[in-house]
Amino acid sequence: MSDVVSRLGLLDELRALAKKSASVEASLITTFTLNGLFYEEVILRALERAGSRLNILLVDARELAIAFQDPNTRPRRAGKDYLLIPVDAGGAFHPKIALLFSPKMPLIAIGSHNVTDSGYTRNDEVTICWGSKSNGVPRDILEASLAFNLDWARTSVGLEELIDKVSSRLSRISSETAVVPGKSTVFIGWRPGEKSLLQQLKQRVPGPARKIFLISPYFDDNLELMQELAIGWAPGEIVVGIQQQSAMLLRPEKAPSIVRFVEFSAPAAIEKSDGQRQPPFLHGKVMALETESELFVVVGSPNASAPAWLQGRGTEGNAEAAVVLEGELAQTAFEALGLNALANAPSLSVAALAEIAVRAQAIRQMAEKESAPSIPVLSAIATELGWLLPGLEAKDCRSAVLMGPQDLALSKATFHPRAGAVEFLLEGKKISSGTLRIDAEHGPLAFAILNDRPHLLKLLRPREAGRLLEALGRIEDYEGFDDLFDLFERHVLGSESISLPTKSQSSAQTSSRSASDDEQSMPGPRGISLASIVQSMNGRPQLEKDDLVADFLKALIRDLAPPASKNEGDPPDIDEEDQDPSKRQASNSEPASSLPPGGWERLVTACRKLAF
Amino acid sequence: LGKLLDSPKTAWIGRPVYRPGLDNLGTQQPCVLIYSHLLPGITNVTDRAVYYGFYPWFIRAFVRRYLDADGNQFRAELRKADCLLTLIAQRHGFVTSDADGSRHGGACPGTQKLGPAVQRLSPTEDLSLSRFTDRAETNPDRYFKNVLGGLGQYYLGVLRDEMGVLIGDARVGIKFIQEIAHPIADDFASDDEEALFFNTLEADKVSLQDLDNLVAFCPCALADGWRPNAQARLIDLIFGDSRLDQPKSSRRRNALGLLLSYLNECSGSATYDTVQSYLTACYSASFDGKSAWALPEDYEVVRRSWALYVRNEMLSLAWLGLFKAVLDCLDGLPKPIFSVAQAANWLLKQHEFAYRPKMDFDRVISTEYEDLPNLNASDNEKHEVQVWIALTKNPVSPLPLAVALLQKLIARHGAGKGVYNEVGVSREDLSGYPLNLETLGNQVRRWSGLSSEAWMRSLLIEVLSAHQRVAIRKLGQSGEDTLMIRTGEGGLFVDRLIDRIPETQPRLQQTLQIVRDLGLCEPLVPGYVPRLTERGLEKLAALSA
Repeated sequence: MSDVVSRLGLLDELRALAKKSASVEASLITTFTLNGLFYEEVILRALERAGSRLNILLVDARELAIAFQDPNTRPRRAGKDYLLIPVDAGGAFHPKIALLFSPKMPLIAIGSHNVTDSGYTRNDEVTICWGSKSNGVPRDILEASLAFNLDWARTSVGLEELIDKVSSRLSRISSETAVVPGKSTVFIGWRPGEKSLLQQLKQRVPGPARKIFLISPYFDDNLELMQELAIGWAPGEIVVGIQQQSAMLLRPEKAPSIVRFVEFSAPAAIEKSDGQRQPPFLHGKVMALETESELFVVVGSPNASAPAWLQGRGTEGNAEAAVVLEGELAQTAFEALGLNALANAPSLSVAALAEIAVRAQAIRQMAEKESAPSIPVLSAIATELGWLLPGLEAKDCRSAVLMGPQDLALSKATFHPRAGAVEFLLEGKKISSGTLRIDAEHGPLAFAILNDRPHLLKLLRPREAGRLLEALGRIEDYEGFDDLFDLFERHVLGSESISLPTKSQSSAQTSSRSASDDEQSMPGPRGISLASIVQSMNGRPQLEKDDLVADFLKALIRDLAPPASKNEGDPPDIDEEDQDPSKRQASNSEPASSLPPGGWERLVTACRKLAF
Repeated sequence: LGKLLDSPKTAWIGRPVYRPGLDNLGTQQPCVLIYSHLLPGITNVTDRAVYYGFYPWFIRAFVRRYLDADGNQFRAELRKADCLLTLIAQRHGFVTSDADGSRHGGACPGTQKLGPAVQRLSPTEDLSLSRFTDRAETNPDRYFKNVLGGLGQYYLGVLRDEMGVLIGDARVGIKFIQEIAHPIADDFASDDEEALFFNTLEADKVSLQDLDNLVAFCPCALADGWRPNAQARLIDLIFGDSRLDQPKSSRRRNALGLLLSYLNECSGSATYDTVQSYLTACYSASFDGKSAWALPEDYEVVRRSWALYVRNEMLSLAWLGLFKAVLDCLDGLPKPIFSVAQAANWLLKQHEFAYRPKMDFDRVISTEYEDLPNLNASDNEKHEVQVWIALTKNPVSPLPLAVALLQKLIARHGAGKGVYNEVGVSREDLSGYPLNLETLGNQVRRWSGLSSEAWMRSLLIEVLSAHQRVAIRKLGQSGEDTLMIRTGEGGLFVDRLIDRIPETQPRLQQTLQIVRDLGLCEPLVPGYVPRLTERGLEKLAALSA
């Protein structure tokens, strides 16, 4: 069983990854609402510090369009530094999942937390997290949530090929990830063609239930979910915890008679919040079902609403994701989340509920009044000179604006009809990544994101591969390199990770030391002369391990390549005794036109001996 | 345990550390960079000149006495020494009943714990130094948490990075540079004084008599001429007399020289606030608010730099004044506002934001330009300095003052580029700080042609955006949450208010204290500009030679 922890600093966990030498390879995060500034400045920064090269963000397309309209929430590095995928799920693309791929310290968090400053720092959000304190992540949860996200990513037109490569890379990293048993937990998520989320839950929790507990900030107008719960599990009582100040409960009178609404507050944060003018917004979504024999707790993105749970009915359903816990884990979660307070909490009066409804209706009306028409967001495809914009018609496109810190009107933009699409061209310049706002005659027509495919493909490579290419002098043609690196990784590096340079490891060790360790190791004071602190710059720099690896790879490539013409170029103007010994050895090797059977293994064994 | 480590954690998300940031818009950063450039080696926490000599002396003496001591022994003795010096200073201040306590134990490390302890001490009692140096969290008498006490918390950075006296830190150990530290240590205390001091440390207890016997270590001893060698050595160190080849020493020397010139010109005249008077003089290029202040080129460069600091400070106050008005107005239940543009529109409809400049932006600036008094005439009510002073007095409605100050700054200085070149502040230094004098130029070009309504709207968008960018960037860098306004699921709401418009502290108070500690000026009491002493006049003459 797990210990009871009421609060988990998810942001602190992410920020601590670098210090813990987590060596994150990639990340995949999903969100409904987005603050692009928060993602780039806080989350992405933490991931990049932890080494993550391939970062993927899936966002609800309509919410992404809203984020683009405000310079403060607009993504600015999308397409270049990370892969941004707008998802049009029909209903809301609503899952909040964070998957961090790392051989040593993977992390999965599935909950109610959008990628906004409120979602990670201010609201009362709920999460289930592996990797924070655990030794690994459960393979079935990792694979199920990865497959779920990739399926949704594939629905974004124009990214299919890139997603295939991403899928392949992430699957490979996943296979190397530290795992723990996934007992008592099941991932459930809705995507087209699957049973509704409620039906999936029913498979896990057949019922009947004595009691059902719900916590949610949002509800469907007719409280259909509650009707279904009442029918499907025939509970004696459904206790619904809400925050009166913020709950969007428009018609409480529609609730079945067994429903009891109560005020709920998440267990108080340990962190001081002196001076804060508003209480935290209760945004967490939890369902707990108490059957005759067992307790089940569902934690994730679905609100207590029909679109979240009853996909396939009338209105379009949401993409949602959650984890069902059972047994001891469910008991611990129930306690940690403070759900035991629900059972004995006094019911809200009819008058209080009426007040909540009036407030919620006023907010709904105000929101409808203020809401701007939805602007589609699409993934553009790079052409030879411009961008292909699927789904648009050239006759509608009037102008284009490059979105950035300041919008830049592109006066030389032209639009050309292509089959079922429009090609955007900019006279005299090609834009390789970024976001455009395409304007029609009377306002914005669409946002188009161009992910920089070649650059992102580079980010797909393992970190070591990138560094080796760098060390090899940025060779122009990378074709076949990945296969070569694969060989090199398997035969030369084996399972040993060289992902972190020695320097990082030592600094990480230093930073993770406790203060008392530092104090113990501090030597006494000394006097030194000025001359002794002047660094000598005359010594030959020592080759570091990485340079050696690059040299050995050069040797391997030379052995695989056809013999080079001896007439090409002049010999280097360097005396032999001035040459670095390791390089001398490499340059003394005679190129071989082909390797005899077993030659490769002998060569790499020799290289390993030299390198390590 | 294995099972525990395999389990997930289901929990509510914890919140990051909350810090009520002072620089909520990042507008103060250029000010910080400018005064750091002008006064390297003096910081907002290096208040007393004596410590520039005391710590090098102590470390050198410790090494001579305990050659093979390890870091633990060093730390223990250093902390005791820190306490002992503060006790000596507090005791001396108490004995002399000096109305100006800052001459003695003011701003010495651990004063809050050690001051009352020495005051309560009777002639027959002893105080245990270890009682105060024990770092245990449970120790109610702990004088300082930092392992290296006042050295680690306040003075190590300047003695290492700016003065080049020490190297290292608490983790790798402290070393002193012999060529620089030896002369300081030699002049700081005699062998007899050293023996007396260390004997007291070793005894680990002090009586009032012991403290009185060690009175020569009181910080006032430098200014009062009891320790002429130490005084001369520290003047040399702080004015950089022996290190004129070092750019930082040279800058500090010129900054101190200009300050001495100003004190000399004012000759003890009455003032509301010496620091503000000095900065006003620098900004308006006039120490009397009437005539131009003629200065040699070295000092003129420094004056211009301080003028730039003031200009940026005024800009910062204008933006922060506007920000405070925004916070006050938006306070209350979340509003269905989900973008800065919506927020600006909402604010402009509120009576608190009914204020509008009387004309469109271009005409406002041209009219302001016509009305501005001469730069020297800082006493004129239309001078920007007067608006600056008004904003620092926490006005009930800062909005008109903030806008007026912006207008005056734009009218006075235009929209030039390369504003910070002379103070070594680069474009990279300012990346992430969207509201500064350089960006003001760009904004002015964008504002040209706007109606007063549109200009106000633009100002609000700028201020709201800047806060979001600066606070979220800080969250990413340090993990500290300084957001004052948020957009949550329920809309926009104010999370925290600010009590008053924050000003920067340009190290001049510390500089005046250090100059005073060195015996170059006196007294340092409210209401009057300090007057140069004979020694100060000599120093000024030497600097000018």
